[in-house]
Amino acid sequence: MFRKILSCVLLLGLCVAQMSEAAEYQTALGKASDRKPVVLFCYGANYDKVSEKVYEEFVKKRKIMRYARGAVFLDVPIYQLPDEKEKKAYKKVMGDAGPPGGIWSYPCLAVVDGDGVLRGVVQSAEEMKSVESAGAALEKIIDDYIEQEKILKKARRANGRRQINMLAEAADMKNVRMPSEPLGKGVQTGLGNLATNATGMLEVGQKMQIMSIPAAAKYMRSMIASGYYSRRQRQEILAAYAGHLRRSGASASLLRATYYEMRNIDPTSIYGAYAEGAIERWVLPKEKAGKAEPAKQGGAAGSSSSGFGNRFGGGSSSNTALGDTVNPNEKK
Amino acid sequence: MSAQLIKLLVGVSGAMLGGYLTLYLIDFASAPSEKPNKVVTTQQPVDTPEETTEPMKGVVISEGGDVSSNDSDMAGLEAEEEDEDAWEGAPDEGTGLVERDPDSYMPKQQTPAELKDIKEADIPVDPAQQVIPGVCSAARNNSIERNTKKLAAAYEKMEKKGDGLTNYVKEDYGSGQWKKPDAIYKELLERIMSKLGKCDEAAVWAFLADPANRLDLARISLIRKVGYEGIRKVAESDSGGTMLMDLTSDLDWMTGVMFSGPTDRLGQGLQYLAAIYTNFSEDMKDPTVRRIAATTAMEFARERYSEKDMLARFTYYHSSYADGKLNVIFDKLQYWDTRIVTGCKDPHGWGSPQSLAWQRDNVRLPVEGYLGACSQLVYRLRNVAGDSVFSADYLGPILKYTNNTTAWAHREIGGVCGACSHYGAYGALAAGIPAMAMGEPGHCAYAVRVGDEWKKSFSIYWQHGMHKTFWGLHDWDFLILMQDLYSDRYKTLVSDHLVALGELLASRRMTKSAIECFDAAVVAQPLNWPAWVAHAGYLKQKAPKNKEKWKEMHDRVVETLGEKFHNCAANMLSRYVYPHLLPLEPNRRARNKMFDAFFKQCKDFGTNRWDVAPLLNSHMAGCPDSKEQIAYMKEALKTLMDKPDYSGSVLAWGLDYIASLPGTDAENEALQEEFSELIIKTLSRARATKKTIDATWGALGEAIYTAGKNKDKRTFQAIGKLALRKCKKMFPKNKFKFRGFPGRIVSAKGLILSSTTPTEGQIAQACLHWGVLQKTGGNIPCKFEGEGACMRIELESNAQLSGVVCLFGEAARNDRPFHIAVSDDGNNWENVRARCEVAGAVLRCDLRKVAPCARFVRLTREGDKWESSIVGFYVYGKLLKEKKEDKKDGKSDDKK
Repeated sequence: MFRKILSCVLLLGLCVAQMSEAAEYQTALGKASDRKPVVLFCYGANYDKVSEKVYEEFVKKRKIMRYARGAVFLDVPIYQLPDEKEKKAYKKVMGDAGPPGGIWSYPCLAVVDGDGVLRGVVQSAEEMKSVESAGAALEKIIDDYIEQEKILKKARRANGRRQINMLAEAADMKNVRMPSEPLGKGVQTGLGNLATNATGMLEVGQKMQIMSIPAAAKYMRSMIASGYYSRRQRQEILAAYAGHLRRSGASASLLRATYYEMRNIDPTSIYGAYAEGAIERWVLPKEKAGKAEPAKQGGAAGSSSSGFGNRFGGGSSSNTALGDTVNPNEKK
Repeated sequence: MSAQLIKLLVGVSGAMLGGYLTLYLIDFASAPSEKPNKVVTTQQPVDTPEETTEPMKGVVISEGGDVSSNDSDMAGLEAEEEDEDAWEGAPDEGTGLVERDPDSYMPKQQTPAELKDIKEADIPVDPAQQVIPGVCSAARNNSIERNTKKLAAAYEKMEKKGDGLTNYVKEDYGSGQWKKPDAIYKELLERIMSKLGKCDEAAVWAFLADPANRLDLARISLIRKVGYEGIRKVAESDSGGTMLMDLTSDLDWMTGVMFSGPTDRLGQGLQYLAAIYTNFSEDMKDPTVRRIAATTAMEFARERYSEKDMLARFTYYHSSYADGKLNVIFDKLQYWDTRIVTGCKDPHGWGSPQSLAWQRDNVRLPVEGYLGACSQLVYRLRNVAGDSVFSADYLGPILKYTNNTTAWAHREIGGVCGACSHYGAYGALAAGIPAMAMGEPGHCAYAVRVGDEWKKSFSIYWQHGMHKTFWGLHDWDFLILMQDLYSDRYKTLVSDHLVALGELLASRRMTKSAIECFDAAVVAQPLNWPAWVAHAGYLKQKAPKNKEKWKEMHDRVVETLGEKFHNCAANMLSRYVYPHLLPLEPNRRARNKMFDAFFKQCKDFGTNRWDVAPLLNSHMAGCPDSKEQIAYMKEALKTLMDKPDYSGSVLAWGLDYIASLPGTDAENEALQEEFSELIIKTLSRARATKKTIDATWGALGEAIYTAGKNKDKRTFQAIGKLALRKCKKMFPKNKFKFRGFPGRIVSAKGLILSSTTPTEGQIAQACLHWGVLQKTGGNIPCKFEGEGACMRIELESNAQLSGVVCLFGEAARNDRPFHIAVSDDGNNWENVRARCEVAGAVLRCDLRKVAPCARFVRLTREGDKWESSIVGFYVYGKLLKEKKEDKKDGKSDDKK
């Protein structure tokens, strides 16, 4: 009898211990490593019929698991105006932590590292429309995450320019974001504030605006050649430079060459598309006008805008106008 | 001052995305010039019987303040010249919708031009009905409240019994019959009037208790608002007859259409509904689809959007609902709040089907999440290519990539407050959640309804111009009023029914019963703004000189509406009640008692901080001469200075009022002087103890900011000195070290103005603006952006300048040049060749070589936007008129 009572007490104790255990999220983060991130399936649990369908398909039928590449998987219910019961249900999974910052839409598959930092997320309607499309996107993120972690590991051991190049390479991984402190806590990266700060790029543009075109070109080239900037940032630098050229009345060919260079850095990116759009919007009409009014174009030859062309290859009609200054190792 | 229109610019709402600039003005009609007539008694004969024979005009004040025909029923009538005594001006302007002019509630105006068989002149006059009922007794008020409660409970019970679907259906008019609306009208009228019998209170309550009567009332209101021709046009269109048959046989649907918000341009709305019916008649059996259809049609008609856009919007919400893609909140919306969603603006931009669909699919959040959704956009005035958000080039290159999807394009490129706020608001709207963008001075924010509560996001200021309104009033308080009104659904419905009955009876020349219905409507639901407006409009026509009825309305507004909605009550009083009541009340004490009664209700700001100036202006307008105005100002300052929430606003109002007085003649100048002294005296009395120092500091801040804005240097200086005396510890104790210039500081007794639009918090700190000119220093935020944005200083008087020192809050970079310009009049500026050097946080501009003579100095910076705080600003030189002082300190360098 005593034994029975004892075992009951012990069982009760175990239950209490389990209740006070860390939330599932914390446990999952503890299990994460540089080869194994945590995948959170976050879904609207009480307000969203789309989430309900996706949850049924992805999680209940466990179809998404096969794409998780062994990552720690957790489903996180997101409640709208939660009542006490729902608050408890959320707390059971996430403890006091909120969903990782950077999620813009539910349902989604969020990939976080051991610090709980969002490194990649599958959240667009296009990607989340089926298990297959979401799974393919998730696989890419996990692969890139592992690859990025590898590079960062090496970067932490390297120094100087080599370290900076490695950081830029890690930042170029398309499907994942950089961790907040890639070289470890409190260690400054050589990328400076431009690596993560969108307003940094605006400053580049502002600086260029009050420069002469040759000075702006020199400034742009030095930045591109520094190796400090990711692909997106290099595109943004070129966008700023092209904007300055455009407003200064530079020749169509110089503009075209600049936009080509910008596009070729990563044609599939938003700034790749921007460059295409810019050519349609500003270069083609200018070229058409040039053909229609050769006299006018000729008249402009002596102007300062054509001067830029002569000095920087803008007079040439090919997109290799800037070829001598384009980084030969540029990925296209 | 009588009959003078005071236009007060209350705010420039800069929804900073190109094209979203909202300028909103509030007009306040002051009291008409007529003198009060004889004292009237209860049961008084109608004052102006001749008015009833005048041809009526159906007017609404359009967005731009144009007077236009009121709906299709008035289409055949020519616009008449404005009556001098007509309700003055548009109550608001800007992006809002029309608010019905109270005059349009006059009986003849409500009678569609086509109802030839029932001309008002042909209606027999019952002498017993040609009297104005007396003031409601407490017993009658109680009886109305009791009956309302009972009836509201019955409405609720019936709706729940009907499972929320169809409460009451009576298919007695087929689709073909609607081609002859005059016959239906006659039949309905006979039926209703016979059931109303003597039209006494008991008959009215008994009438409303029967759902068949309520359906008839809704039907007859529909015909009256649309007119025979309008109904006939709809009935003869494809599916129009069927739609009318289905609509008018279903009480629930009719209630949704007729009693869930404004019914402007209802004829157009019905045509739109018929167009939806043509394409989706099968789906119309679903009450939710009916709700989507009716609300989209009505709102698009009201907003004057095209049928094509309306169909596109309906299709979006219909398919999103059918596919289960909307937030579950949408399923539980009523008609009135569905109108906010389906009727959201900008059908070609943020509200285009593709942008809504993109947000619906890519910004799926719980309702609270939309409050933070604005942060998904990068805040950028210029994109990375350097193009401004105000130019088409900002998004231009990627619009093809984003398939012209506004929300998507902004998420890729960025935007400023306008884009961020619209992104947040339309994200919620796309999911079927009520939300709206709102303008703030120089800013754009938005609001989302979370549960039953509207929450603000991205807001920096108390003043909001809501982009979507029902009654054309853009203040935040009216949004909350609307929410509270329709949340109390059944009582509101009773009140709306009483208004509809009142309008019908008014058209039957049954003045007494009509006024009793309007009385009952505002007692039944004191939050029913349209009921108040209708009541005031009718009273204005039938009993403009009946002091007791106007006083009764005043007291009711103060006691009921004014209890929570101070701003709404103030609007009601200043727009509709005071212009009639104040001229009837010559006794100053009695008037002040009325004003006091209102402010007694205002322990705080209520639902939101509000602009007290219009109300005070309407009080002032009621004062017959300047002596009384000063006396009133004293009273107002005394009353409101004791209320911490209002002290700053009342001071600002006083200063604005003084500034608005023309200062050309000696009399006005003396008056201005007197007002200024009065305000300074009041300020001096303000105590700044440990407990009250924050409130005093805030009030002084608001006052000095207003003085600065009005370029009132004398008051600016007086308040600054007063603030230093009363709140010394709020000023910094800096001991700046920098190299000055020869001469004395000629800016310390001047006025400093920055081009930044300050936030509410910054205004509370505005005494520090004065500190910037003093040795201890202060703080003023300033935006520099090319020529346009600058720091402007008015000097003590004309001076010959030797240099300028500006101290920034933090080190400034030396990459873009600063420029100094001078002026004699503050309007015509001349650039001065000065050597400006930045060293750390100190900017020194040497003017010794040029030594310009001027009274105003301006500092600008080349290039793009740069915002900084300025902690000290000192202009050196010698005053040209002060020779004595020159001798004293002219030669010493000011070194601190």
